[in-house]
Parts: sequence; C-alpha cells; structure tokens
Amino acid sequence: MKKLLALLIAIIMVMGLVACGDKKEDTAKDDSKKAEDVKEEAADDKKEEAADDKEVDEADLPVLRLGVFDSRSSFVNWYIMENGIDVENGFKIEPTVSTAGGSFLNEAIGAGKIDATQIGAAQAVFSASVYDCINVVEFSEASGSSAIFARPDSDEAQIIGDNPDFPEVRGSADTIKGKTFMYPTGSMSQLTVAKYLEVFGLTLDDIESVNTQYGPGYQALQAGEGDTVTLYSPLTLFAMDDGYVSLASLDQLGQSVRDCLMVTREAYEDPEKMDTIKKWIKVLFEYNEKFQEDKEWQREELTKFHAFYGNDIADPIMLDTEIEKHYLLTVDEAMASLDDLGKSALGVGQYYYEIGIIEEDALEKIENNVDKSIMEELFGK
Amino acid sequence: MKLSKMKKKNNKVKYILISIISFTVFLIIWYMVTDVFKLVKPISLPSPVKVLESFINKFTVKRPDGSTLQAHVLSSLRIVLTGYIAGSIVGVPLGIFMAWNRKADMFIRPVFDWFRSVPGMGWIPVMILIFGINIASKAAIVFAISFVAILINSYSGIKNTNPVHMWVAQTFGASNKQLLFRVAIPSALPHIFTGLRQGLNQAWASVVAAEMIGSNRGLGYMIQMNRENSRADLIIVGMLSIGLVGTILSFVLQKFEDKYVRGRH
Amino acid sequence: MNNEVVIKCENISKTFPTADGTAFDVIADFSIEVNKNEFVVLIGPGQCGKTTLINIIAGLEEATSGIVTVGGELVTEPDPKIGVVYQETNLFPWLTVMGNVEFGPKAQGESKASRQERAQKYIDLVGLTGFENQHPNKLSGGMQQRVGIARVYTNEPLVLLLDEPFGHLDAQTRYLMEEELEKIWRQERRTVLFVTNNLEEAIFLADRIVLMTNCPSTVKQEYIIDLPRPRDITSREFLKIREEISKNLDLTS
Repeated sequence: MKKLLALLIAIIMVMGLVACGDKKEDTAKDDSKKAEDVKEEAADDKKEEAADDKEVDEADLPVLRLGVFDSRSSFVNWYIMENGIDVENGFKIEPTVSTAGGSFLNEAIGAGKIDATQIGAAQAVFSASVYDCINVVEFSEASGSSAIFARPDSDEAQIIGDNPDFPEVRGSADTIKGKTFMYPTGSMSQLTVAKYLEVFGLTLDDIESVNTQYGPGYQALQAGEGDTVTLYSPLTLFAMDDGYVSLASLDQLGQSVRDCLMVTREAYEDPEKMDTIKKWIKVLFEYNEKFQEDKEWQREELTKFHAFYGNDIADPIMLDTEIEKHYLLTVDEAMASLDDLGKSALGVGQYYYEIGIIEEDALEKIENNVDKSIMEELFGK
Repeated sequence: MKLSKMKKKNNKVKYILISIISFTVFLIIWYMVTDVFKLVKPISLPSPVKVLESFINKFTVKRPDGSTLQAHVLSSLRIVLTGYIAGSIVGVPLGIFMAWNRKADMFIRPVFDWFRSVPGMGWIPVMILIFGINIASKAAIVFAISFVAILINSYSGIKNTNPVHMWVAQTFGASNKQLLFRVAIPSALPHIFTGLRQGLNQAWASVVAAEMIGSNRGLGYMIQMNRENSRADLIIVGMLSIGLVGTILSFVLQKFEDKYVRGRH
Repeated sequence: MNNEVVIKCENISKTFPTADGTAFDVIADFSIEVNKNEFVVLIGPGQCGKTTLINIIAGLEEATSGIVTVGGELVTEPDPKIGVVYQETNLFPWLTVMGNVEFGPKAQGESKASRQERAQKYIDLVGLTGFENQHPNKLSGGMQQRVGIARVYTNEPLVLLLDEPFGHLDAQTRYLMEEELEKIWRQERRTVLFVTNNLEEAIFLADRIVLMTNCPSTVKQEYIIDLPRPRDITSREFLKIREEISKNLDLTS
C-alpha cells in the first residue's frame, strides 16, 4: 500500500511539473499581461501543435485561429477558406467548427484555443461578459433566422396583421393564449417568443412553455406535440418546406440579432493578430458584397456549403429565404449602423438580465467590450 | 476463518482510506491549479472554494436556470427511477426467460441485438413520437438505456449456472420449475444484481440525454442551461451532484444486494 | 453379502462428435454390476470418461449405446433414488448447510418437520452439529464435502455415486474424510459406486476395485478387497495389494 501511495504521489508530482513547465514556456512569450491563459491539461496537445504552427507561420503566413459554425453565419468564411482566398491575402484561417451552437465556441475561447470567433448576438452576450472578448465588427443580420412555426391548419396561423404595427406577424391574443410553445428556454428563442407575445400584449405566463432543443422540438411538432416550435436556420427552411407556417420571425418583431466577430482580449492586445483580423474583415466584406451582387452565384455556393455540412438545401425558394432572412451586410450597411455596434448583443443581454440569467455588471461589460475603431480605420472616410 | 474475516475488514479500511486520500489529493490538485497557481482561468475551471460556495447557494438560489438544486435533483430522480424500475421489471424476467427458453431466445434475440445497438440519444425522436413530450418519453429513454444492461446480465447469469448445480438438483428429483426457481435464479442472483447496478449507473448517467427533451428542470437540464449561460461553476455543481446522487443510489442498491445475496464471499 | 444386483451397466459406449467431424470415444463397451450395499471403487489414471459415466448412470446424460438399470429399472432420467456427490462446487452457495441438506426432500414436497428431522440426523452423523445455519463459503473444503455426503444421505437414495469427492482436498483432510466416509457407510449401508484416481483411497474403501483403461474407458481388471474394516493402510496386506494393483495401474497410464 505504501508503494501504491508513493507511486500515486510520484505521478501527481510529475504531472504537476509538466503542467508548470508548460506554463513557464507560455508565460515567457506573453507575460506582458496578467492574462493567465494556460489551458486545461486536455489542451496541452493542442498547445504543442499551436507552437509548431507558430514556427511555421514565422516563415510562412500569420494564422487566425477562428471559431466558426456549420450554418449560414459562417458561409462566407467557409467560401474564403475553401477557395484559399485567405492565403492569397496573406494569412491562414485555422477554423474550430461548432455544430452545437455558440456555447461551444465560447468554451473554445475559455480554453484558449481560438483568437476570435464568429458568433450570434445571443452567445456574444457571454463572450463579452464572461470571456471578456471585444466586439469589433458585425457582418450579418441573423434575426430573420429565428422564427416561430405553427401547423398550417391551426387557429393562430389563419390570422395575419392582428396588430397593425406588425403587419407580417400571424396570430392573435385569443388564438395564442394557453397554447404550448416549444423552444430552448433561456436562449435567443425565448426572446423571440417573448417579443412575439408582446405584440399581442401577452407574457410568457399566458402560454405553456416546454423546453426543447431545435431538432427534438421540430420532431415533436411533427409528431403532433405542442402547438408551436421556435426554430433556427436551417431548420426554419425545412419547416417552411414541410408546409409549416411562420407566425413571426425575430426581424419582424423589431429585434436585431447580428453575427459578430468577438476577439479575445489576448489577440486584441496583440497588434500582429489584429493586423490579421483586419485582413480577414476586409476579405469577408469583399465577398459579402460580391455575393450580394450575384444572387445566382450565392445560391450555388450556399447549396455547396450546406452540402458540405450534410444538409440538402437546393430548392431556390429555401435558398432565397435564407439569403433574405439571414442577411450579409455590405460595407455601407455596416458603416451606416456602426454606432449601433454591440447594441443587438446588449438588447439580448438586457432580456437575459430581466429573466435572471445574467447579473447587472455583465451588461456593463457587454456595453464596454465594443471597439468601433477597427471598422473606422478600415472603411472610414 | 477469523483471520480471513480480519483481513476482509482490514481491506475495507484500506479501501476507505485510499478513497479518502485519492479524493483529498484530487481536491488539493484542483485547488492548486486554480486558486494557488492560477494555471487555469476561473471561467473555464472555477476553484473548489467557488464551486462549494455555488453548491451551497444553489439550495436557495433559483437563478440562472430557474430552480434550486434540490428541485433539479428530485426532478431527475423521478425520471430516472421511473425508467429504471420499469427497465428492471421488464429486463430481469425477460433475460431469465430468454436464457431458460431456447425458442424465446431465438425469437427475441434479433430484436434485442438491434435494440441494444441503438445509443441512448438515438431514442429521442422515437420516444417523442411514441410518448410525446413529458416525463414518459424521458423515462422511456432511461428505460431503453438501463434495460439492456439489466437484461444481458440476467441472461448471462442464468446461462452461467454451474452445470454441477443443475445435475445435483436433478438427481434430487427437482422439476423443471424447481430447477429454475430454486437453482438457476438463486445462482444467477449476483449476476442479476450486477446488471441492476450497471443499469442504475447507466440510467443515472443518461439523465443528461433524457433531459434534452422538453425539460424545465433536472440536473441534466441544469448542466445544459449553464453551458449555454457560460456558468462553469454551476456546471461543476451539476456534475458533482450527479456523482453524489449516483453514489448514494449505488450504496442503497448495495445494501439490498447484501441482504439478498448471501453466502458469496 | 447380499448378491442382489442393484446397479447394472451393459455395454455402455459414449462418443462425442469433435470439431473436425470425427468421433471421439470416451467410453467403450463398459459393463459392470454392483451388488446391494456393496462398495465398488472405479479407478483409472486419466481424466477420460469418468464423470460422463457417473452422469450416464445418474440419468443426466444419455449413452450412445448400452443400457443402465438401477434397482431393476431402466435409467432414462434423473431419479431421487440415485444420489450423486461431485468433486467440488457441489453445494448450493446461496443455501445454508440445512438448506442444502434438506434440498432433496423439499423438492419432493416432504413436510418441513419430517425432512428437517432427517437432515439433522445426517448433519449430526457427519459431525457438523452447530453449523446448520452457516453458508458453505464459511466452511472448509472437508466440511463442505461432509455436507455433500449428509445431503445425499438425507435424500435416502438406493445407490450413491461419488465422483472423486475428495479430489481437491489436501492429503491430511482427505485421509480423515476417507475414514469418516467409511465409518458412515458402515453405519448406514448403501450401494456405493465411487470414482477416484487415488489407489490408496480405493483400497481403503472398496469391497471391490474395478480398474479402468484410459481413453476410451473400459474395464481392465477387477480386484476383490477382503481386508477387514477399518483398514490399516500401513499393514503388510494393504501394501501388498497396493503394490499388485499399482503395477497394473501404471501400465495403463
């Protein structure tokens, strides 16, 4: 038993030494700040890889470790990577792909695996408040991607424009009261539902809420459960294609939810990294605009993009819906709304604060962790 | 005999001692890595002190996931125990029946082999379709997961009955029914309990998957929600609670086993 | 001694098919007769066929050819009148000593008072008084085999088949158990067919020794042992018989 104990302690000490050694190497490099960023032990391997890459990129290209999605938010970035446009422009994107929403990318930030991430406003709330990331650019408007669906023969689907301020929104107070709404609680979808109810002077207390993730929620609606389901793109497209009726999407409810680039504090304070990020922003907007000019081509590439991640979306109506509802911003549009940078995350944050998900001091951080100067520098007059 | 008893007791003390040491070492490393040397950011891995604080507070604070810790635990227990008990009620007799009756074995086995190869999460769509969004569909997923281990162990317990025991009983004129109830089943009891234990562990661990369907509460829900909310401290509180409740459940089952399985070691 | 034949095996053969399709003979043309209350020991060197033979006589396995009768009736299935004690893992570990010993009569629906009275008698006879409520795992190997013997006696069988019952005991315990068994047998006479590969044990116990060949098993030679009981294993007569059989035994292995 003594031997066993001795062995155990020895192993622990060795592990401790390894961890400490790693730490020293690391801090030697970017010790300038208090930023204690050393990763969990699980990330050690990655660490070495990253170190290798750094050796390469000193001789070769600067690397941008970027968090991306398998959905529309990262479509243009995908095109850039697929066609080597990043390399043409003197940098290399090293993506971490999330197929499980924004929280995964926030965790990647926490683990120090990425320099910056594309992320929707709803999870940008946490990138800014918990992980201290800075919002430097918003490149697409995603509020049309979150929508509430009902069965085509339901009462609520028959009425449209009940509140004249919201002419495209379906349903009425009478037809909605007491209905069962399925959506992931505490998410942007809850905000969609809450905003929808507001249109008719109702609150969440007037309906039955069932917490479901998007996939299971949609399956449940198809199986005859509940009355409505709140979905996010691309499931919204499938729901439409399957004949379900959109009661309202978040854009119709007057709430902006933009895709942002959240940069980690570390990368933000590293001028070289920021140079790479500026290159990325330039290229991204270049292709945002090219795609907006040539819709035919955008449809084609969007189909390829979805196929790349295993979704079969080739129907032009579905594609056009996505292109319209999840809108790529041009430089002019981005610059025109630059004063509102960070406002959509703040809006979601305020709602999260109201329902008790975050504390008041988090709102302050969301408001402060915004930097408009990058866009001004790149595209300002 | 006395010696062996003493040795047994000694082993038990040793086991408890080693458990305590390993747990303490684990806590110390955790504490060192977080609070002392600050090797990890608190947002990724909060210190044990912070987690303990969140753990205690969670008994009274509903934010940010909408329920207190005890409400989450009770909700999960309700789902898991419903599914698990159903899994045991079906799994044990069916396993025994398949092992005892060759025709039943041949008939049921192909379906069962297919059934067991479906992972827990794979059941979600089917269970929603059959049971809808309520406790039944969640319990059904727990059932599907725990039932497999329970059945397999009951089955192999009966199949592994020592042939000498069967011979002896036969030479004493035991009928087929007596062979089953007085020899095969008592002899398989340790195996059956192994299955019940495995099933319980898996059932309890499946709570996260089960609570992906329409939950407003429960430990799995709590973990998912706080992942969305980037609250690592509460994720760990959820994990620890799952471990703690799982240990308590195992302990209770062990007491049952000690009571009903006699004369083995 | 009574000359009524109780166990009769006629031309028993047993063949197992093997994986490569050929047949494997474990018992070939085996015939034997055991008289009432006679203690017959089967001794053979190898591991081949002896447990199979016991199981055939007990009605647990079917012979490929040949017939077995016990008490004049053809054996086709297990019967309480044929009691068996195996080498090990004989007892039901989930039952107490009493539970094991009363198993047979209980299976046949005998009343509790009656069966436990008889069980107690045999527990006392094998010297395990006071251990009735212990589980077998708390007993030593020798004590466990005593329970096995008490159990088979309690069922009051016509014949006893013992398949190397002391095979896994250490030499000292084994010797004690042989004495014990012999004593019990003299008190409670039964027709016994006892299998062993230990010659000393065979001579100590047997009225008659049947020497068997190795695979396939068949009868090689028989010896009548008419030494007075209880026997002294160090006596000259004992050693003489031992030497004589031992020569023959060696040849077969």
